[in-house]
Amino acid sequence: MAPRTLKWSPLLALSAALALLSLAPGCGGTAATLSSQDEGLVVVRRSESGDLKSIDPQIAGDVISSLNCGMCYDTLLQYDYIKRPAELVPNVTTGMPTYSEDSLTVTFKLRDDVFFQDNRCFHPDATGKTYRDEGMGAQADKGPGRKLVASDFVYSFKRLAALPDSNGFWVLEGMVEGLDEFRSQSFKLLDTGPADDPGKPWRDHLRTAAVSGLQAPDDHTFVVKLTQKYPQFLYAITLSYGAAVPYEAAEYYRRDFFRMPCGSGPYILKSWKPNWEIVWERNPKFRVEHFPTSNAPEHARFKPLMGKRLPIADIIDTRFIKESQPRYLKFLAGELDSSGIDKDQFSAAVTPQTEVTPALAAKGIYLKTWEDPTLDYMTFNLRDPLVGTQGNDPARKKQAERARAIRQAVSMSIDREDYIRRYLNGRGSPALQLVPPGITGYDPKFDMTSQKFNPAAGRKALQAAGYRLEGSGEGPYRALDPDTGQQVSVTICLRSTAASAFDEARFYKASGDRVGVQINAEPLTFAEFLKRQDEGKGQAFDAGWVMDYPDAQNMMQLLWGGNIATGLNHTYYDDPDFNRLYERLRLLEDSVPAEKAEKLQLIEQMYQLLDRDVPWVMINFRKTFALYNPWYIAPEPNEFAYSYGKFWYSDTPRRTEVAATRSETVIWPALLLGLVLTIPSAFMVTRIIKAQA
Amino acid sequence: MFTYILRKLMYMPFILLGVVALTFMLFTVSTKPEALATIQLGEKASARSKYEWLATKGYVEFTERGREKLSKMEKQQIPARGTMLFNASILADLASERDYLKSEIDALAGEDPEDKDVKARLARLDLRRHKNEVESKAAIANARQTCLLEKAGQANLDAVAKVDDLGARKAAAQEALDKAKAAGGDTADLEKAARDAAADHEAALKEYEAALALVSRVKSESEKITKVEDIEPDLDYTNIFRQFVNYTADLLRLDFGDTRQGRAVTEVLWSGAGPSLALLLPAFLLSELIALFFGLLAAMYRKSSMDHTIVISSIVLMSLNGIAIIIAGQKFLASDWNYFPISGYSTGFGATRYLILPALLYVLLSFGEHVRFNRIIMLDEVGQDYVRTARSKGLNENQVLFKHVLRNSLIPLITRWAVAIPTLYTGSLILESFFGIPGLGYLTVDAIANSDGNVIRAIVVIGAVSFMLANLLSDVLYAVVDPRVRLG
Repeated sequence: MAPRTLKWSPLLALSAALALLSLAPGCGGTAATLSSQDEGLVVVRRSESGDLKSIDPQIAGDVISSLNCGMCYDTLLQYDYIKRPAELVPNVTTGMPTYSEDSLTVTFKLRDDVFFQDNRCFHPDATGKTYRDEGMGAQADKGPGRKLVASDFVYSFKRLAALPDSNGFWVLEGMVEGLDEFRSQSFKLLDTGPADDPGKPWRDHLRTAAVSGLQAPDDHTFVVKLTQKYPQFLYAITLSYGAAVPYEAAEYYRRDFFRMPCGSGPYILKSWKPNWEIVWERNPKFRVEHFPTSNAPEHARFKPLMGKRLPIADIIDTRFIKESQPRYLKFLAGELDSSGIDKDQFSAAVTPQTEVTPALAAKGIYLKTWEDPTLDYMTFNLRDPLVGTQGNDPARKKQAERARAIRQAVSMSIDREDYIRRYLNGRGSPALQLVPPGITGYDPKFDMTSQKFNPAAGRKALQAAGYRLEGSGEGPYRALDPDTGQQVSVTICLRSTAASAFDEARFYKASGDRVGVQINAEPLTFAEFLKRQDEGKGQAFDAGWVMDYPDAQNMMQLLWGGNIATGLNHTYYDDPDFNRLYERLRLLEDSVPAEKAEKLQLIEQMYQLLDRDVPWVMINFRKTFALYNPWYIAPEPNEFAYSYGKFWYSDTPRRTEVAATRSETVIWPALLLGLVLTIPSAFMVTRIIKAQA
Repeated sequence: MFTYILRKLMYMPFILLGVVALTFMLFTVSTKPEALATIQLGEKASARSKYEWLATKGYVEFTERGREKLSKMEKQQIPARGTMLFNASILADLASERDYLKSEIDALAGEDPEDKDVKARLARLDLRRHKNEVESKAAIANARQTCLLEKAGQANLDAVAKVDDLGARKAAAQEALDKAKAAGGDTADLEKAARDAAADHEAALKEYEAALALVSRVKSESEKITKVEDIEPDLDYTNIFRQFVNYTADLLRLDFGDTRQGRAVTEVLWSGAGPSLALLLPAFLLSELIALFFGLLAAMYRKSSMDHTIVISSIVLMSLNGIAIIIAGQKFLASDWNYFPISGYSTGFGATRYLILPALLYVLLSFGEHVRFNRIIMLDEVGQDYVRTARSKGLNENQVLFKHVLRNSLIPLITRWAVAIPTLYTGSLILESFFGIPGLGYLTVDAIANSDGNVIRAIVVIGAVSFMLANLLSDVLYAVVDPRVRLG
C-alpha cells in the first residue's frame, strides 16, 4: 500500500474546535439575563401549554384566550380575588346591579373614572380609516382613550350577537329582549354592502340598530331587560363575552381586532408572537383600584399586597411552551414563576403525601392543590342502534333494555380510583354525579349506583337483558349477543392521539373485559373528534366539561333535550321528565334558601333518571396541582375568573437573587466532555502523524 | 445545459398540477364541502358563513334561477347575494332537522300510541315539527321576499335617521326663533326657517310611514307562503371540474387563504420560515461538514482502530432514541449544567444563543447515519484505480482525498442533499417543539392537530415546488462536478 501522508493541521484544528466547543459554556443563564432586564420592574413570568387563539372577548372561547382578554378588557362585574367561595363584586360599576320586582330588568351604574387605553383608533387622523389602510407604522401615533360609557356595553352585547363566529352568544341567547331578532337581522346583512366595503350594512346595523332589551339612558346607566328569569345572568356576563369593547377599535381593526386589542383593562398589549410569547405591560390610565384587604389568617400571604394600587405587576410575560419538560426545567431554573406538573415530572416534584419533594422544598418551591370544577366523562351516542335508547314497543323495548344494560355494564366496569391513581397521579376524585365538589348541588348522598365500580352488577345487568356471558372469576368475560352470537363491542372516540390516549385505550379495554364488553378506543385529533361528535358518528365519546360558572345548571344543561339543537347535548338524551326538571332548575337561585332547597330536590330527581338511563359514564373530577417559586405569591384559585392578572405579584429582585444561584454554570462536566473529546482527537492526530512519518 | 434546464422547467407545471390534483383529492374530494367549511371556519361558525365560504371558494354556485334572481336584484341595485346565501344555509339546516324528525316519527309509528313515554315523545317531536314548519315558512318567505324586505328595511332605517335629523333641526330652528322673539329682534327669516324645517320634518315622517307600510306589507306577504316544496334552491354544488379550476387558480395566485385563527397563511409561513431556516441551515451544514470529515477519515483508515471507533460511535448514536438524546441534552447541558438556554427564541442575532444547543443536537442525531453513508461512498471511491494512480503519481494524501476522492463522491452526496434541502424549511418538528422555536415544524404540527387545511395545503405545495427546484439544482450540479455527466 502506498504511504499515506496527510497534512494534519486542519484535522487538529477541527479536533481542537470540538474540544473547545465543549468547554465554551456561557450561553446559558437565561434566568439571570431576564432578571437583569427586569430591573426596577415587577415582572410576572408564566407559561401556557397551548397557543393563544384570539384576544377578541366576544370570540374568545377557550381558557387561554379568556385569560388574555381579562388582561385588557373589563366586564361589568368580577370575582372577588381572595374571598372563597368566590363572590361577584363590582368591577366597572359603582355597586352591584339592581333588579326590578319581576327580576327581569337589571340596572348597572357605571363608574365615572374608567377610560379606554390610548390607541390609534382614537386618533383624529384615523377617523374613517382602517388598520389595513394605515398599517403597523401608524400605530405608534396614538389618540387618547375616551371614557367608557354605558353605550359601550350596549354595543358589546350586540356585537356578541352579531358576530357570526362568536363563541359566546349562548350566554344571552333567548334571554334578552329583542337580541335574537337583532342577531337574525345582522346575519342577513353580512357582506351585503358595496363591493369595496361589503361589511358596511352589517357594521351600521351593529352600531345603530336599537335592541329593546339593551338600553343606555345615560352614560352611566346600563339597563338589560331579560325575557325570562335568568339567575345565572351575572355569572354569564362576567365571562369574557360580556367585556366592553370600544366601537372605534372594532371598526378600525376589523378582522385584525382579534390580535390588536384595545380595552379599559389593566394591561396593554406590548407584543404577541404566535406560538412564542405574549407580553402585557401596565396600562398607565387604569382606574384607581386597590388590592382587597382581609384579616383572615388564610390570607396572610397577601398582606404585603393589601391596599396596593392595581395592577400590581408592570409586565406579564407569558411563554407558549408545548412540551412539558422545557416548561418544568424553565420553572426550576427560575425563568417562570409557576408551573403545572405533568405526569412525567410528577414523581420528581410531589411526594405520595402530596407535598413537594425535599429537592424542590430546598429551593423554596411550594405546592398548591385545589378542586377543579371540571368533569371528565364518557358520553354515549343515544342515536346509535347498539348503545342508544330505541323506544318502547315490545321489539324496541327489548333493544332499549339491551342498550341500557350495555351502558350500565360499561359504567360499572370502570374502576375510577384505579384510573385516577394510574393516569392522573391521584390528581382527581371519582365522579359519581354531575356536579363537582364545592358547587351547590354536590352531595355525596347523590352518588349514582350506576356510576360505582361494580363489575358483578354490570354483568348481571347484561345477563338480565338477555346477553349470554362467558368467563369466570376475574375474567376476562365475553358478553355474547343472543341473536348473532357475537361479543358486544363498543367503540369510544378519544379526543387525542397523544401517548396518554393509548394508555387510556388500554385501560378501557381492560375495564370492558371485566363485564364482557369489548371496548375499542379510537384516538382522533381534536378537530376530527369534534367533527365526529357533531355529526353523531360514533358510539361513545371521551368528553370533558369545564364549568363556566358556579351553578349546577351549567352542568345539567348538557343533557337537556333543548340543547340537542344547539350542539351542547351531544348525547342526544331527550327525556321529557329530565327536561321538565331542568326547565324548573334553571330558574332557581342558589342565594335564595327556599329555591336552593328546591334545586337540591330537583337535582336528586334528575340523578335518579340518569341512574336509570346511564347516558354518561362519569370518570373523575379534576384536581389541580401547581408549583410556585418562592418569590411568587400564589393566587387564590378560582377557575371561573379570567381577570385576575391585575392581582398577580412576583418579587422580582428576589427572583434575580435566587435565579442567579440556580443558574450557576457547572464546570466539571464541560472539562470531562472536553477530555473525552480530546483523547480520541489526540489519538487521531497521533495516528495521522504516524501515517505521515 | 440551458436547453435541459428549460425542458425541466417546462415539465414543472405538469408535476405541479399533479401535486395540486393530489392535494385537491386529499382536501376536497375526500371531505364533503360542508365539512371542509366546518374544518376551515371552526365548529362554531354559522351556517351563513360556511355557505359564504363555500361560495367564495367556488364549491357552490347559484342555479340558473338563482342567477336570474340575483341579476334582477342587482339591476335594482339591491345587494342580495349575502342574503341569498344565508337563506340557502337556513333552508339546508331546516331540511336536515325535518329529515331527523321524520325518521324519529317513523321509528315511533309501530309503538303503542297510548304508552305514556311514547305519547310524551310524540308530543315533543310534534312541537319540534311545528317549530320547524314555522321556521321553514319564515325562511322561505324570507328567501322570496328577501330583497324587498331589505329594501324596505333600509328605507325604514334611512327614514328613521332622516326623521331624527330633521326633528333636531326643527327643534333648533324653533329654539332660535323663540330666543329671537324674546330678544325682540327681527324674526321673519327665522320664522321661515322654522316653517321650512317643520315642513321637511313632516315630509320625512310621511316617508317613514311609507317605509313602515312597505315593511308590514312585505311581512304579511311573506306569511302567506306555506309550502316548503314550493321553493327551488338558489344554490347548487359546482361540478368537480370547476371546483378543481377554482382551487388551482387560488394556488397559482399564491392565495392560500387564512389560517383558522384568521391570519394570512403566507404571513404565517413567512414568519415561521425564518426561525426554521435559522436553526436548520447552519445545523445541516455543520452536520454535513462533520460527517464528511469523519466519513473520509474512516474510509482513509479503513479497518484501523480509528475506523472502528468512528463506526461504533455512529452505530451507538443511531441506536439511541432521538427524543431521549434531546431530553437528556436539554436536561443536562441546559438545565443542570447551564451551558445553554433551556428553550426560547429571539429575533435577530440574539437568536444564536438559543439555536446552538438544538443545532448541536441535530448534528449528534444525524451523525451516525450521515457518517456511515459517507464512509461507504468514500470506500467505494478509495478502492478505485484512479486513486491508486493518483498515489503512484506521488500526490500527497490530502490531494488524493480532497481533490479526487471527495470530488468523485459528490454525486451520491448531492443526491442526498437534494432530498434533504427541501425539508429544511419545514423545520425539525421535535427540536422546534422542545426548544420553543416558532418555526414551521411547530406550525405544521399545530395545523395537523387543528385540521387547518389551508396551512397543510400550503406546506405540501411549497414542499413540492422546492423539491422540484432542488432536483433541478442537483441535476445541474451533477454536470458541474462530473464532466462525464451531460445534461440534455
